[in-house]
Amino acid sequence: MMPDQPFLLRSFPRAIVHIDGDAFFASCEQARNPTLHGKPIITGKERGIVASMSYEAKARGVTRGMRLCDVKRQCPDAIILPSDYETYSLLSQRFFAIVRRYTPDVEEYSIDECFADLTGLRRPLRLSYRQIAERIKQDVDTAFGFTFSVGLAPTKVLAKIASQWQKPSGLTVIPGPEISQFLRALPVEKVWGIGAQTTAFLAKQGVTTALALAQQPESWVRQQLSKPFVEIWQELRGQSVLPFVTADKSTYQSIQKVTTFTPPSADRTFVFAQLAKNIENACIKARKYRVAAKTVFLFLTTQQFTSSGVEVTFSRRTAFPQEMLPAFRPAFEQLCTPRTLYRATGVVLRHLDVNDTAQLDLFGDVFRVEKLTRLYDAVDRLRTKYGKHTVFLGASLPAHQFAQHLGERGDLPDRHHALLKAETARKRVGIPMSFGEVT
Amino acid sequence: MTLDDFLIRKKEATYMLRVTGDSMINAGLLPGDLVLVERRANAKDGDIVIAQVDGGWTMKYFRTRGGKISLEPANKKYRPIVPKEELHIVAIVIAAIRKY
Repeated sequence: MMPDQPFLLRSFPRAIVHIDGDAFFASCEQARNPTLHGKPIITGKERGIVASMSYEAKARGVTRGMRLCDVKRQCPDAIILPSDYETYSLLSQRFFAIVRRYTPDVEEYSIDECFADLTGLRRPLRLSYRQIAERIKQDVDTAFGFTFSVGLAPTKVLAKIASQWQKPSGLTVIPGPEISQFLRALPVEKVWGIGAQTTAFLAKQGVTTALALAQQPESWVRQQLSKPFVEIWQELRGQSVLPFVTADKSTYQSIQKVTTFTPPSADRTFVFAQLAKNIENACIKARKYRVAAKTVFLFLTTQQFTSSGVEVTFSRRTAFPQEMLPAFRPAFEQLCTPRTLYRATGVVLRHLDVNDTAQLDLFGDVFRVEKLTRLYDAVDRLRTKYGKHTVFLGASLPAHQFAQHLGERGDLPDRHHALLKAETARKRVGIPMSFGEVT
Repeated sequence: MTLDDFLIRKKEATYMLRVTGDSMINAGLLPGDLVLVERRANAKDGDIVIAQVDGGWTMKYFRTRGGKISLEPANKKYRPIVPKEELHIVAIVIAAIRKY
């Protein structure tokens, strides 16, 4: 192919937008508290590292994942807040709902970004693709009080390049015939899906820009790279091959629950209680999606960040913590080394399948299972009415008695302190609260 | 119709705030009340708005009489605010909630 020949002659054989919240968590905080406007804001206090930072903090050299003690040196006037995931996920759902006003084909890629397929909407909406993208941007910017960056292109990979092109508050359009101009100066590692390994490999082959990769002949690409990268190559050339995952998450391969606690603990009862609580949480989710697990993987992480785990298999699938614990305890005893400080516990329910109690084993378990089913129906009803963990296992009591993080890291988001009448720690009104004084 | 549908028009742009001052007392908004507000960039005369003033939020009547924009309290103790520069309207009040 000639170097200057466009990859794609048509502008939008498919029209895909990628929409990305600008510094989403930090922006959520600024939008609800006017005293935070224009200041370096950081979220992630409970994790000890930067989860998100405002553009003011970014300008001062704060980066994602930076340790908070380093932040205090780099940017002493930074305001460090605990993450308020309840509010962020409420706002995230609103974000997707707004985009779905335009098209049902929305892929919720993460809490603060999504893809939407606008193909074929020009005529019904009487708008160009660019105008639809502008409308969506205007809607989300207004509803949130902070900005989003939008990219419009014929493929997902290109749409993602477009949304990153100008941040914050950008709206960048890459029509088919103009693809090369956007790829020319773009380092290949900036392309979605290309990691450090591939970047290093491509560099050895003399491929350092996205354009250089896109211009490689198909035979070379298929020979040198694995399938996911062939797809990226196609998408860079304007050929849409990546699927849209629009379905709501209704099935799970596995369910994972992890807890980190501060300070680390060597108390076996306490560490086991954290695991028991993980199991309860995982089972709540399993029952919600009507699945049950054949095996559970449990793991412990020490203060030195080394992890060890062991797998437990049950005689039949279950979603009842009561049944899992007896098989669990010996595995825990084997795993937990005395006088070792642990900082995190976790469980993974695996080999999930539809919870079908009809197929019981031959040992007369029917009545016992029947009883457990009734018991957990009641537990789940109590949870719906009064909130999560209204009743819990005795074994997990120590995990409920203390806050997850003691000390400064344990600071809770404001929303947890400002309960309204009739709200409880576990059940709150599903509308974001703001705490700026309204005088 | 649920109470949500009754009180809220645009769910995605609606937020809740607690009233702390008494400047809107004659509009029936008391300290401690909750207000539902809808984020939008513009308001019309007579709306109760949330505006950003001096780094904080204030709730007042939005007035455009005589081509001049002002924020008018509903309490004689306070004087209207006439913005010197551009006025930043954050949201308009769409409902008030008081739980006894």
